[in-house]
Amino acid sequence: MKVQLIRTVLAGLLIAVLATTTQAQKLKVFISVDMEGITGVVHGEQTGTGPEYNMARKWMTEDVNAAILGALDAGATEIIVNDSHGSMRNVLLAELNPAAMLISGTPKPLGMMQGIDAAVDAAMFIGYHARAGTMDGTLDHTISGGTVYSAKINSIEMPELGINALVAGYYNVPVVLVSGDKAVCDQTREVLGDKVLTAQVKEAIGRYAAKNLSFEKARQLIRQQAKAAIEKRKEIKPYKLTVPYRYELSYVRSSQADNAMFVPGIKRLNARTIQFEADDYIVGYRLLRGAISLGSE
Amino acid sequence: MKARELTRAFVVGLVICLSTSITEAQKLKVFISVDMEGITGVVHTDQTSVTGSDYSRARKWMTEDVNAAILGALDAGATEIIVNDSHGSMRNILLSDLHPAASLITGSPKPLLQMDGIDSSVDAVMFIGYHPRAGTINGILDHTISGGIVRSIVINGMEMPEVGINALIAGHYNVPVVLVAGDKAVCDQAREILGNSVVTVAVKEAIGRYAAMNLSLEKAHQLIRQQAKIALEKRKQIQPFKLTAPYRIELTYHTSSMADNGSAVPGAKRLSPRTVQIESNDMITGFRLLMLLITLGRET
Repeated sequence: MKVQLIRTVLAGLLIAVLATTTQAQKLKVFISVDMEGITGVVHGEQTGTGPEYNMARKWMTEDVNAAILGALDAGATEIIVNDSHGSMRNVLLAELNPAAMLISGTPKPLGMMQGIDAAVDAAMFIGYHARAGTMDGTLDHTISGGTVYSAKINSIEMPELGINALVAGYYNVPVVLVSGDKAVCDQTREVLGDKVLTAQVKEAIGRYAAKNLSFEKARQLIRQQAKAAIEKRKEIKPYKLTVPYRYELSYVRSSQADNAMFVPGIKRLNARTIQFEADDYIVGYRLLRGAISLGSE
Repeated sequence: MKARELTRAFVVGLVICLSTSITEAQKLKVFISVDMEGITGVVHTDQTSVTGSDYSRARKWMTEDVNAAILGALDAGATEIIVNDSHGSMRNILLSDLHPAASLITGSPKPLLQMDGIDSSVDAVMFIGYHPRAGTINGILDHTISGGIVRSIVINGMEMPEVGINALIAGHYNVPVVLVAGDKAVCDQAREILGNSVVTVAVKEAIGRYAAMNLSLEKAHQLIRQQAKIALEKRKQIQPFKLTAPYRIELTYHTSSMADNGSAVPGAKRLSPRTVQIESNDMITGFRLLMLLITLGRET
């Protein structure tokens, strides 16, 4: 009897220890990758259907591969990469590190953050760019350059890294690394605070020129920073604001605001600015993206 | 002998004097700047763009709106009428259909752009087919000079439509703007900027940016003609539009790269990533610097 009891307890203990060890080994990393902040990219001819686009897609795949290597260095067991730029079919799956899965294409409900959920331990933003209206920021814009003049949430003028970090924060996931030019790294610190790591791969001169690190140096930097960032993920707080979330979107033209006014609950602050509120960040985030789509003429 | 000759000379002199003043009283020089977005019937770039599918029809409407203004000017006794084609390529007006009493300034570029041809011998200015400034609710094709470059232009703290910028040029030559025709929104802005004594003609009322309820062409032309006559007859009661020097001109662009280029202008101050400011003690110099800032904002 006693022996049976001891055996049962020992078995239970063994299972518990195994379970805990396995759990301690699980590390799920989410990477959202945009294109304007990729090493080497400085112009729309590289990020859209231009003659240099195919070359830039390789650069994009390699910058994110460097982040994947850094994540693996930190012990990541599951890596999801979300192609977050334009057509969202830029990353070359054939050249992506096989440890990662790729979310490719658009539209998708969570857009640039598709693939995030509460099981993710840390999020990284690779190839991100500064918000619309930044001096010396490569291809500075907020979501849609031809539609958005500025986007504010709770009075903070947001770059995409802020808008998207709030999605991660909704799921209690910290953003641990942002890579891109110097301007987006500065805005990372401004919006998310000093604990988030950055990897500065280039420094912009105006909007269409930049001093880039060599590919080797940039990728070494991204890999190294990714490892360090994931290792200190528990010290970095998920980014959150307080309810109600107040979204203020200033368009380029009054007609774009006219279109958005079809949506019930949207208020017009002036000819080019609309405002709306939400108690659930994801609801507001989806409406924000919807209001921007409505603005495309 | 001498006295009679003297008297005769005196009478002749008097007659000459009188006839000269009568002739002078008969001189009335009118300058008309005509844009396209505010023309009766126009609501879309399909009509205002040279490559637009409806452009040739809209050019006729533009020529007819300004013809109505010319008729009104003639009704008021105008003896010289200059029309400045002030839209886009500035080669829109059909010279063969323009009222023969007017001369036409056509083409671009020209030093004073939409106001080229103005000088202090002009008695009154009329704006036909004008449109509201960038960022106006219910304003047809609202923009300020260049829709793709300019978010706003502020002069001495006032956010200006082209009505205001061009009225300042007229004001520099001490010429009043007596009439503005276009949609309801530009008429409201004309009164806001120039005051209530300027005569306005709303030929249409905008619904958003690309739709409007238009008067019929006949009614619009009647209205323009009638109001032009009234406006010219009361020109002496309308003050030329002036601000006080120094003129502080703030241009906010759509993107930081445009402001990067604009800040190359000597004396230009970068107020923010997208805003450049220039100052001048002379309105014409200030205007030309403003045009330089806009041109530099063009991106290939």
